[in-house]
Amino acid sequence: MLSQTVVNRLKEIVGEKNVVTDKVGLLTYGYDGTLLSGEALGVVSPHTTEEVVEIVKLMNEHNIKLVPRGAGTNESGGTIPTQDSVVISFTKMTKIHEIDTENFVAVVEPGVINFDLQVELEKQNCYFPPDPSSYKASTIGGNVGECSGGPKCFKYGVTRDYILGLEVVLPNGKVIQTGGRNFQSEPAYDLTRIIVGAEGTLGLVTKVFVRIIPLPRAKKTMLAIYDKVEDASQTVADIVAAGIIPTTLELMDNLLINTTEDFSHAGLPRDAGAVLIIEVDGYPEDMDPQVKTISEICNKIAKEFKIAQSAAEVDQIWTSRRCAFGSVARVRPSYGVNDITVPRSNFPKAIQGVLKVAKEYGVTIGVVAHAGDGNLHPLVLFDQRNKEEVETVHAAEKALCMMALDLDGTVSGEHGIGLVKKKYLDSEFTPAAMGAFRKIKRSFDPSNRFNPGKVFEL
Amino acid sequence: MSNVNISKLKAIVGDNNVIDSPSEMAKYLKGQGKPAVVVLPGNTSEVSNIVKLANEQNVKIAVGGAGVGTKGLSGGIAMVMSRMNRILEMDHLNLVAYVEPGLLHKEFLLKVGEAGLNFPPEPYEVETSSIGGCFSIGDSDSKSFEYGPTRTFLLGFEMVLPTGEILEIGNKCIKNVSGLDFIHFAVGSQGTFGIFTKLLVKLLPAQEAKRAVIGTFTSIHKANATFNTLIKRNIQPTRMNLLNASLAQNAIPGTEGQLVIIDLQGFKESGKNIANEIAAVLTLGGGTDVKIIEDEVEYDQVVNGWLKVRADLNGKPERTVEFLVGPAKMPQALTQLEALTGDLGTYPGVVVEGLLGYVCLALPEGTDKLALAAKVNRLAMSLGGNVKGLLGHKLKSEAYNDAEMWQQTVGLLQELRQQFDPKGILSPGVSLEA
Amino acid sequence: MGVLTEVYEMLNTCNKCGGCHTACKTYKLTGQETMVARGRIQLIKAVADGKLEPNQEYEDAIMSCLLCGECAVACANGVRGNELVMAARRDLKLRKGIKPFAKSFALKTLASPKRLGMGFSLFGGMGKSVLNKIDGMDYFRGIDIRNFPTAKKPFLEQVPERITVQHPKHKVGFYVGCFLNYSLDQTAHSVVKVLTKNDCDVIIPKDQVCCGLPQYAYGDFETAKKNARKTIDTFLDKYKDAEVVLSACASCASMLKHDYLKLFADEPSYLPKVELFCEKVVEFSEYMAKIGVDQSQLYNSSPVRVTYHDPCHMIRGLKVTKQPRQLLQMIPRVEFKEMFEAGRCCGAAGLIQAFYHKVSTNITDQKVQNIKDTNADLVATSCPACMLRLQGGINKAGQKQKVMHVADLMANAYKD
Repeated sequence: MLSQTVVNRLKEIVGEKNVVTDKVGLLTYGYDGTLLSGEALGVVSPHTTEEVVEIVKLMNEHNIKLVPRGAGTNESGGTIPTQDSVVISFTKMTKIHEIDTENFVAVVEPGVINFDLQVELEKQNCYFPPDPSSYKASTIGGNVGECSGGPKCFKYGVTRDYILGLEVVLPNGKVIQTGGRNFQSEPAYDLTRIIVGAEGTLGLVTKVFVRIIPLPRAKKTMLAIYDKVEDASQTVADIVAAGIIPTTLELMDNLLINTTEDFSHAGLPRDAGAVLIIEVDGYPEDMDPQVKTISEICNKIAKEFKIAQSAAEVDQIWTSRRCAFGSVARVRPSYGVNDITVPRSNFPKAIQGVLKVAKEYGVTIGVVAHAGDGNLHPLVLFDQRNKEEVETVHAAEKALCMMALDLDGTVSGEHGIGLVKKKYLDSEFTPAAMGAFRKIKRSFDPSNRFNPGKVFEL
Repeated sequence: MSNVNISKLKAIVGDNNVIDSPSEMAKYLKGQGKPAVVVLPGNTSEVSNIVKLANEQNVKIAVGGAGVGTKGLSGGIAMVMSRMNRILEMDHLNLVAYVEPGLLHKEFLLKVGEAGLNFPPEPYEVETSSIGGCFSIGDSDSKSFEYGPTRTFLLGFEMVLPTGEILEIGNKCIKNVSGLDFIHFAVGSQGTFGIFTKLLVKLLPAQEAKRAVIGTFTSIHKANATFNTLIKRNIQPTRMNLLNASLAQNAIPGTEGQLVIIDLQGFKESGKNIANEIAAVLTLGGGTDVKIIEDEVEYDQVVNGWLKVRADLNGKPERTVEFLVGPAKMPQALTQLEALTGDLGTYPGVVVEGLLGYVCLALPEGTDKLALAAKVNRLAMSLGGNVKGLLGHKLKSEAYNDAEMWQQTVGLLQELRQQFDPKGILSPGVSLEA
Repeated sequence: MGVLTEVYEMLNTCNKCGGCHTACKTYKLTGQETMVARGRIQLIKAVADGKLEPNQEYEDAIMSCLLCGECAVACANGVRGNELVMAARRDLKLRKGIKPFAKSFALKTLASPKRLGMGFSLFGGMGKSVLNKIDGMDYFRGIDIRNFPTAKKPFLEQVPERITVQHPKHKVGFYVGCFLNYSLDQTAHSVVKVLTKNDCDVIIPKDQVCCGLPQYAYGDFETAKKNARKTIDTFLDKYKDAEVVLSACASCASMLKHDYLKLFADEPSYLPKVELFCEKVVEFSEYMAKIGVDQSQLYNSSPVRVTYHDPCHMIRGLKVTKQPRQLLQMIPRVEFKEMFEAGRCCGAAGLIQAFYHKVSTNITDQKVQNIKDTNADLVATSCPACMLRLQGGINKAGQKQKVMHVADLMANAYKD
């Protein structure tokens, strides 16, 4: 329980309505996209950097920990509050301060929803390349915290590649600005980069300078359908070998084809082993030769290959992919999203590995993958009411992570570590690397007040 | 004066790889400092043992690819990585390579090219830059708009920490958000977190087309205006640079006037049309001798000319002021700058990297760099930019009258350095105070 | 708790992905997790699991839902948030009846024709004269009171039970609904006019009652069922010659056509009759498009730009979107202009506008802006509640657009 003094002071800082301490309110800020939940002491929603500073100072005075939260859509438990913490929700900091297309920069508050920013940018013929599947709900602050990816990473990279600078409130309540509006304004150590992806453990981001780029002049979307998943991964290797860097190489396996069909009725053949969504972008003149090469590659092994002829067809193809995660609930009510990533050359082995895990543990696993990046999202299906099954699923998920590490990969390509994958970190990193993380955390937050216990234990 | 135990060093790396005669040492050293010894380790464990030895004896170490900066290194160890120069693995399927830090950038580029691949980061200094140095400095360059800054190309590394401990991190995945992002954080740390002993770098497929458009202008402002026209026309080439008359001759001998170099790599089919469009924009913008270069030899000459100019400027950081305002504000910046510098066309050196909105000024003899930097920073800030780097951050904080922010930032940087290197062994010449 | 047990499977299927965030208007405006399907569902689940005892905050979360159904459309998991909220309301009703007093009074009033008639005239007549004397009391909770239309006499008292045409091709039972009866009687006349112009005999049973939707939406299934049974029996027994049961109110139509089936799911003996009835129910635009309108009779002297607002119950309830647009574009010199987010809730949402008026007013303001952006002269729609809400919002914003039912526009296009 927060003392009345603290509650009153919080209300003074952010206004009565922006402090939640009732049970119902706390319940709704205790979960995220995972099965985990927790209950904080309170939820506070600041509107300005100054309010954030005041909150941090107040919490320091009373030795209360802070858990930052955007839309709470992450798949890693990164926003689950601990019992002795207050959730600081950034959903009220939603101003787009500036969009400057000629200097390729936008300045936004952390609570701006990725989609809302994209809508504004698109009006000015620009965009912000990172667009995780949750982009319609997730905030830029959350994207920064998790270093989110999305389907365009193969060509365009992840969130860290589009953050030019940050305004950050440090655990001691002081404000710094890292980077700036331009490419090269880093002060010595690249503080921006270490804060991006740190899941709020190092500082609270209150302003984000994002890099925006013009929309590609031309884009071609293709769909290849395969009998076997292995054939699809061969196509991926062949395309890269041909010297083409597509924007996107998205793969869905048979299970996902069927569940997404149930929702989107996009017309994918339900008996196919896998589909691959391939997209290239750039100048119009460069499209046809690339499409030609890709179609030659695909036609060798794919059972069907088509090039979207209209915007509507492009939409239809993407609708399937966008709804992939949720759609599996039609098979079983719960699913665990994994985020394992392997070197591209090991992708076929990873697919084999997933099938093996599914068989060994007797669980149903569907696969969506950013195949070009070697990033797989095996969705392990179950029912959370069945405690025994939940245990099996946890074991299977661990096996998936270990399999990825055996293939020289990582347990997280774009979702972050949070609480869910924390236990695998010692398997992925050497003690020296873990030591480096702790040194960094201690430099920023010696008292361990910001999002404590996430990513690793200090 | 020095505690360095030469015989122990020799026991680690072999007699031939320890040099302590001043005349021999000189060819490895840059600057006025007087280290006790130059040592050339051959592998990671040697590096680690040297660092452990330095810890025991409380001696400082500075590291370089071919040459080592000696600032603050008197009595210390200059570690030259040139023996660790192998390409350990070139992985075509994953488009990555494992290399040792002492590998020269130009040699790596040659091998990468032969393999039909591309490694975009530009060398700091064409002849002597090593791959280790590249990531240790971790700058962006005029191709960064298209490819991203240097750090984008580092996927992992092996590093000897200031305690001698060996740290390995990263993998061949092009997407990886596990743990904290120490991989990219280490880029640009200038050896203060540790000594790179192995680097896992990202590669791209080779650019199939190389094409450039060059032109000369009598006015630097007119030359720069063409950049804004191109951006408004939604053309983003690989590189879009402007060198003032003083530098232009160094890049392409015989050039008169302000030189515009526009580089179009990789636009395989579209390049022809874009080049024509660019040439038209340059001509209409007042350019003369506008030329589309498609011949590969000539193209390489132009690019190498630019890299030479870049290397010259990088070689004397005390004589340059760099700032950023973004592309759109560049015309105003250049105009206002002339109030501080006089005619930019004949100034000792002006480089504009058009896509990044970056300017580098080579200062005339006798200029008070800090005084000018302060003025330039005010100008840049009024246009939403700032002087580059730590100096810029300090000046910006000063301009905001926000001493606290500067103290916080420096405090944080030093705390980080202290956490990694509590005894202050590595890179004594690197200051985090500007 | 029985009600929540029935929907538990669906509660359990919400994976908390947050996909409903963009779909939910109340979340967009408040940024509060208690005001979005995901939050509401987790709360309902907590109640179902016995982890949460319903309290005032819980009730607010459940009662503030617009029931617009957009979350259900957005949910890839197929979770229908609106149905879960309905179940939670039913659960609340069973636990402790409907509270507070104002809500319960409003619902009781709606359930009885007599009280309802008094209510409308009080609100629009006497009430208005009182409110007129109070400065600044033009708007009560975002509702434009001064301009709130009231029928001088209920529509049902103005017309005979059967209206016949010379060469009848169809025989239509007209379910009028409360709003058209007591408030927008002109629109009811428009419906009759369009029907008769298209060779339909119209049957208008005098003893029809409220469809039961308001009570149903707040969990009072007993009252809703009583009204539903009365409606079904009236049309199927007393006026069985009516080929269809037509409603010009999207909400009523959706209730009659879909929700009656759910309401009587536990009465297998009566269910076949309900099914028969539901099959007969048809919405105005849907019906006119089906029987075909003789375009040659339509006339319009001056060009007019029209936009269309899809009521929630029309687009997501009945899933009728094309027909009203087709009808509008049949009228000569109509320039049709689609508005941004035409299918999003206008903020009326039944009693929400009265009980959670701040949320509702903000939603309306956005809608009014979208209307303004089209530069339309007229806004057409298919639901009287939307009509009143939109007209109120437009007036408040000082804009000029007139809101009309599709039937009104069509009726005006007939010469006499």
